[in-house]
Amino acid sequence: MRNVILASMRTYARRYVAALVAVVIATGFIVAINILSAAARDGANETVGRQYRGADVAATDAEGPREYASLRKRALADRDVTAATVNWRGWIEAALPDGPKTVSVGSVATDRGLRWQDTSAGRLPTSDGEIAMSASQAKRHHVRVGDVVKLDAGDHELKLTVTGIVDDQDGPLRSVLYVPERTFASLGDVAEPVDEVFAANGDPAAVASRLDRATTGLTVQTANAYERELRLRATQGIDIFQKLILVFAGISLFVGALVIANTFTILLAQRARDLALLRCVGAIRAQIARSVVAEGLLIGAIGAAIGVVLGYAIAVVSTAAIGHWSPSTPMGTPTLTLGGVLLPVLLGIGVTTAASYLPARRAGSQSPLAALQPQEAVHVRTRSGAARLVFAAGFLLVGTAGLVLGLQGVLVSGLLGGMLSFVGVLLLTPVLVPTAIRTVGPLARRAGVPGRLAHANSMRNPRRTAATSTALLIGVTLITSVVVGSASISNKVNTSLDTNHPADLVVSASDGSLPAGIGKRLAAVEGVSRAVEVQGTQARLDGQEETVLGVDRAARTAVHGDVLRGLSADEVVIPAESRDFDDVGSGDKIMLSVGGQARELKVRYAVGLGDAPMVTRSLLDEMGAQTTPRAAWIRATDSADAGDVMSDVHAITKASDLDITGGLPDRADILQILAIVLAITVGFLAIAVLIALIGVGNTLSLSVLERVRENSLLRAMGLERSGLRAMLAIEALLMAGVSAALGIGLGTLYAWFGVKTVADDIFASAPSLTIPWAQVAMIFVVAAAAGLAACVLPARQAARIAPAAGLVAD
Amino acid sequence: MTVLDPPATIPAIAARATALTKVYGSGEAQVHALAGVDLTIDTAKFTAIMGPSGSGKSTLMHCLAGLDQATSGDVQVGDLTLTSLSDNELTRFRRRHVGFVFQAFNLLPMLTAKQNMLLPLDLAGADPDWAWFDELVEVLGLAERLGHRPSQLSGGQQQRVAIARALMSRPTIVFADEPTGNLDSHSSAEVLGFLRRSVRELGQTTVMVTHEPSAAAYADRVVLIADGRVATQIDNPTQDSILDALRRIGG
Repeated sequence: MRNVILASMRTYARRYVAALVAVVIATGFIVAINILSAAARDGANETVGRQYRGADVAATDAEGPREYASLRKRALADRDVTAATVNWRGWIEAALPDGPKTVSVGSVATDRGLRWQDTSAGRLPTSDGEIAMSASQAKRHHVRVGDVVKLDAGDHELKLTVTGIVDDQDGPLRSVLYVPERTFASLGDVAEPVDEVFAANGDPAAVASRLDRATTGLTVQTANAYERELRLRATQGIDIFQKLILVFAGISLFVGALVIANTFTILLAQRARDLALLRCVGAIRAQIARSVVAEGLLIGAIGAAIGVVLGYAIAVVSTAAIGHWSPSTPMGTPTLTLGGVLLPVLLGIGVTTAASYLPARRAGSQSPLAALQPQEAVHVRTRSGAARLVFAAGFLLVGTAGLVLGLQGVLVSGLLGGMLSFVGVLLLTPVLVPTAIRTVGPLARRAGVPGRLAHANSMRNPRRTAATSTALLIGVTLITSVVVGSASISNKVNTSLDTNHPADLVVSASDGSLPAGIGKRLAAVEGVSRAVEVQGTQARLDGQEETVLGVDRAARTAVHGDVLRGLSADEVVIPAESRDFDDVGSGDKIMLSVGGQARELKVRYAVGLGDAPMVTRSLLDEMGAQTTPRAAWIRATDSADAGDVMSDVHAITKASDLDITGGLPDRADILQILAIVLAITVGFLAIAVLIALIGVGNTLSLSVLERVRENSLLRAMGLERSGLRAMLAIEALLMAGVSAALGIGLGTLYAWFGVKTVADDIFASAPSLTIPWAQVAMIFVVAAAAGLAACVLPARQAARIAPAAGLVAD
Repeated sequence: MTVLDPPATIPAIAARATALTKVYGSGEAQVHALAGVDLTIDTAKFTAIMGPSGSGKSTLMHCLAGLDQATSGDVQVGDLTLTSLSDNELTRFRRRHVGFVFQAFNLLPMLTAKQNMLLPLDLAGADPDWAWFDELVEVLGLAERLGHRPSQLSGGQQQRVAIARALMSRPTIVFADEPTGNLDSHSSAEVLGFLRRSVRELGQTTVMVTHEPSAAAYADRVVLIADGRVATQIDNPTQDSILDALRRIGG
């Protein structure tokens, strides 16, 4: 039997290509993920080690700085302890050359041995008035050695000179700014101690246990033990990330299994006569079945081996790419480990073998007589069993119930419901897809005879058409649900941002008016779509002296959303940021007096528009107030780079000592994160879709081989080569188009469920579903086009068939 | 005459092969399937081409029917010289001027009997002559079977559908390749009877390739091929005269 297997595989080698490619891609994917995760873990571990390299003993879990201080006294009294430092970390507002930013700040140990920072320029700060910055941030904000940085420590400001630039190093202690340990006392409650570390002679374990016994509440352990804890925490995030991506890999594997099963089924239908002949000459059913499974195993092994090589290559390239674009992310070197490679290989082999099992059994049950009969027309129709329909109905019911329950907020139920209902749909595809194709019939028939023939062909073998379409259906459904879901969530986030951060940037003078012409200069900044000067005046509001702004129509256009909509002349908008009106509630009435006149106005609250109260401009004019430009409201274009806009605006306002606030950085950051997540998810799903498309091409090419006689009959009857190609193209389009349409419909439905389950109560205002029509249309076009591309090679094969080949007796 | 027009006048000779040769392969593996065939096919006559296996009779039919191009020599059908036509032109020629009945696998399995019958006309984009269609259906006894697919028809019924398809477009020549090879004697007699009737009653030129003397006896003329050449021709053949001739050429 072994010779038969090897010989048949050599002869039909080309027909296994699709199955092989599927295994290679799926295996390679998993191997690449494993290697990259391992490298990321190595990198994270290494940096943790580096930041604690000088420490021998570490203490954590203190209730506050005072506990650390008393421990320090006790430790330094110990004969073995040579040095002590507290690692501080916090967030502080810093005035950088290109604008104010809230950044992280960390400490530089007084004791040189306990310092972990390395400088690439200058030296580390050691005394008051000195500060250092991390290299990547220094580059971003144009900070150099010798620059002055102002820190806002609540009620006072610190001016510090940059003495050095620190190498980027990931780890729990990493910060943007570094000040000496001593300086933290003057920073107020901006920072918290992370831990306290000690350098010690002798046995660290002994020192640690001594100190531990002497204190209560604190945990004192050796630095090694502490590092192990930190490493675990660092790699936990990586582990979760790896598991998420492996879900995508699992999907690819599933799709791959479908393609492999499909390939084998068609292959074996073609070799039916050979196998029947084997049965004639004495092979028992089990032998045939086993030989097919052996073929599956071989393909799986070869494919998995190639996949390992491919995965390693991808990992190496990715590591280099990460090093180039995100140098501060620590990555170890990608290595092939037995653990990272063994599982994917076993999976690849296992899946291929399993996928070939059912076709193998069917092949083995061939009657030997099939070999003796003259070549018959290929069996035309297969029916889907009743059992399958019952199962499908069951899955659908349970799944839908789960989804509906998930709407009430039970996320797990929604997830499970989604998966189960999808399995139900997949079971139904042999019924769904041909029915869908039948309804498209009239459209196909418009294309003349090739269209009619293509239509009839694609409905002949429902199970095979369904198997091919299923793979594509899975991919399209997933991508659509992700695209639509994220568009809906983006819209919800945007709407929420409009309410909470209506103004991108607000430039205001701390007292007095804005310098003349500043509105025009701001409007000229690249990335600014509108800069409106808002007039204001000094007035008395509710007994307090305030700058009151008058909002006109121009100002309203500079603001997102409709927080200022319908502002009437008897209303005043109090910003939530203003601290002067704490006892005034929404709907209350307060007095505005300006220019000798007084008006009673109803209070309305808003947020994100600066801290000056607002009334309508017409009201101020009516009251005869003398107004000057007090604030400029800036709206950025959608595609503007937040950082660039902010630094350009800051450059203009710096000279005049103006304040800048606004939601632009937040908005930009959030939307950027969403976009990245979307891109990554779609990228991974695209791999599964690629495998599915290989399956489509495969089905077409093998069915061309199967239908040599029919196609040559058509050529004899008078169908031109181009007509034959057209027929195949339409078949491909029908299969791909119907799958894509079904997938888009399903994906949108799942997206709706998902968005309603996850984001409905968080962002209740926006509609549950926003369909990005352009992107959805593109998904359809790409799927259809790829289906067409998949049939190019098979069509060329078909056109080469001689008319009446195989039909003539001799 | 273009590839799509019916002949303006009915010539006496439907098709002619002149010094036809066909060589397959190259070098040592060269096969001379046809080694110089001169042959005329008379209009409105039933011609049978006979010969032992390997004699080249199927290759001859391929060349006459425009399914294949000869290596050298001429094939003329009506006014058209096939040997100078491109693949697309040959395809269109077949559509309009040739009807085929094969030994097996005549029909497209996913089309009904009626759709199969109308296929060549569909491909040509021509409207069927429904009166002619009804007549064919009645004569061939297919009225009950029009909506059935080939898998639901017996061998004999499938061949009758194939004949109906071949006759439907009233082609210049009908080529039948071993049409009774897969049939029992009753169905065979039926099919051969239909073919002869179409020749007698409709004036349909028919060429049949066969190796059965009993089938060849239905023809008006039998052409015997051996070793790629015409060995002999018998007019108004009987089974005995055919068997004699076969014995003489050692087939």
